[in-house]
Amino acid sequence: MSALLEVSDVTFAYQDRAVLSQVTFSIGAREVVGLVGPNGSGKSTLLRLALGLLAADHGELQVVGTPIAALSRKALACHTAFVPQDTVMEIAFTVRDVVAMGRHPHLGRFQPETPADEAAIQWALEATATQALAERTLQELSGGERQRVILARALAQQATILLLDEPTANLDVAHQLEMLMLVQAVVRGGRCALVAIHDLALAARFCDRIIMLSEGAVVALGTPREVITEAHLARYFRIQARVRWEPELGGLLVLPRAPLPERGFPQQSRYNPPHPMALGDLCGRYGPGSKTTQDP
Amino acid sequence: MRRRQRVLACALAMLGLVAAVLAGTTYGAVSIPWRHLVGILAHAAGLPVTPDWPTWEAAVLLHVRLPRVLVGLCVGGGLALCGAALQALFRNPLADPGVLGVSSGAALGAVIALYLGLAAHSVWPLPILACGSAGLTAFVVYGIATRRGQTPIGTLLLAGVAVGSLNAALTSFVLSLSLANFDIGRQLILWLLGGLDGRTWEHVKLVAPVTLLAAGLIIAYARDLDVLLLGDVHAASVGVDVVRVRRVLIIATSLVTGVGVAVSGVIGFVGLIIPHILRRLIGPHHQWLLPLALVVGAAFLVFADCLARALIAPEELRLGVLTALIGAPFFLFLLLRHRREGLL
Repeated sequence: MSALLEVSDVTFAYQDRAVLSQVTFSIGAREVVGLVGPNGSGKSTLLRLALGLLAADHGELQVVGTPIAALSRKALACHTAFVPQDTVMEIAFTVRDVVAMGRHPHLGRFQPETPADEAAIQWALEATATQALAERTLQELSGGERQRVILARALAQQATILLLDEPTANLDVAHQLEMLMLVQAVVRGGRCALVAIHDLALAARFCDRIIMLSEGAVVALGTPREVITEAHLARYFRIQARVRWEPELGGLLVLPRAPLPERGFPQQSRYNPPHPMALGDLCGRYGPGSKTTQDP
Repeated sequence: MRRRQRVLACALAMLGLVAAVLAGTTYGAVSIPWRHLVGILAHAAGLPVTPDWPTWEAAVLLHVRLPRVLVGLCVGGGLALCGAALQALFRNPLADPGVLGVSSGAALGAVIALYLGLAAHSVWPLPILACGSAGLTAFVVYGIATRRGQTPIGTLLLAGVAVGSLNAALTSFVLSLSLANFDIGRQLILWLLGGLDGRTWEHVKLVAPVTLLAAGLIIAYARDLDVLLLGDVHAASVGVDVVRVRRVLIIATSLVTGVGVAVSGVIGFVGLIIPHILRRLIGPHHQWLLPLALVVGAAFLVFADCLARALIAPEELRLGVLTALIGAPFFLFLLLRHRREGLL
């Protein structure tokens, strides 16, 4: 399987603050790969590197066999498309206009749209079921509709690599499912997707593989079942969770229960007492009814 | 339907432009019949026409009215075009050419030229000093807002407001110094109120090439501006070199604004009103919006100039006062509509 996106030994720092260190992985065709990790673990930075917005300090990113550094902005945009968490637009472009913006890398400065552009736009509208919205403006749409339009814009770009940064963060459950099923369907047609996502249950449900980042390093990489484990969640997300494999669903059930105390913080203080549920069954002496909180 | 609207708008805009030129050249303290207008222009262009008009008409038209109208066209068109481009660049529908402090920078330079008496000897020192200080302002604002190669829009706007206020304060300072000298004080105030009176071919030579070149450059970035409205990351992800586009457009709009202020004083709100009306009529696509803003802005300012001459004739209302009287209520209207639509 040839890799569409290949990240090898990438290290990146903002000025003096190290963000990513020695990140290596590759994504093949027809693969949805989830990117999970706590806030500040480097997920967004990794996506920005893949988009060419930032340049790696060390190591290399390749899209479809070409190093990103060797590509112009427009050439790179023919390979990678991006869907952010939310899009705000104050000026009233119609949905069709916004989807047509995906053709930007394929058009010269004064070149009008060709039939091929028109076909790509129509296909993107159909694939995301947004044809009916085509003449509405972006502001009139609900969050779920707007996100579908932004996905359509990315599809119209006809890039092989979809990069999504928390695409479902502002959606209700039905729209979250709808969005990720769309992404999955598109990817099955021969593309690949790298999705940064906070919702571990959704990640487990839709991703073929998952990359877990912690403090800028890849700490786990594999199938959802291999990566999303109680031990990993406790160690890297600092949460206590239940994870169950459901054979008849063919999926994981993830039940986050309570946060664990931060490393480096005092385990117990008057102002920041440990959550009784968090520590209840891990360390019984902090549980409800324990005597350690009483004054001598 | 959109397409028909656009073609119609283009036709109307061109018609408006022709009407504005006709009105601007024929209307005035003395009227020039438009038959003479055509004859004088043809004669001046070297065509074989026998003069059947009084010579003073030719003199008034060629040396007073025509430069005045041409400067008006360039300044109006330039301001409207810059307004449209900056509103997209800053993703802020209330941005206008004054927003980066460039206008106030140009005003400061001009006021200094007037105060030092440099402007009395030749027409060049004032525009040159005005352009210079406009450029310096743009450079300083951009420099303050840029850190590690990134120029966040919010910081840029704040820096523009801050440096603009400093420019305004320094302008007031020069003004207060010159209060003792009635003549200079009067000149300064007249200039600060903005107007097209007494413009010469020298002014046209300064403002026309700069405005047309920069306008061409800005219009070449029309499609990038469309995409920039979705946000920087979106724009970059479809292949727009955001940093470069922003730098080029800020330089181009600063040049146009600086040169415009240098030849006509402070004329506000054109860059705010025209793009907004046009967006309502033809939609937000910059491939249409930018060229139309250029044409409509040009026509608008020349008409406004006629109005300023007519309203309190034989006196002239200052053009900057008139555009502010039209523009400020319009600005408020925009603000209120924005609030109603929940955008502010």
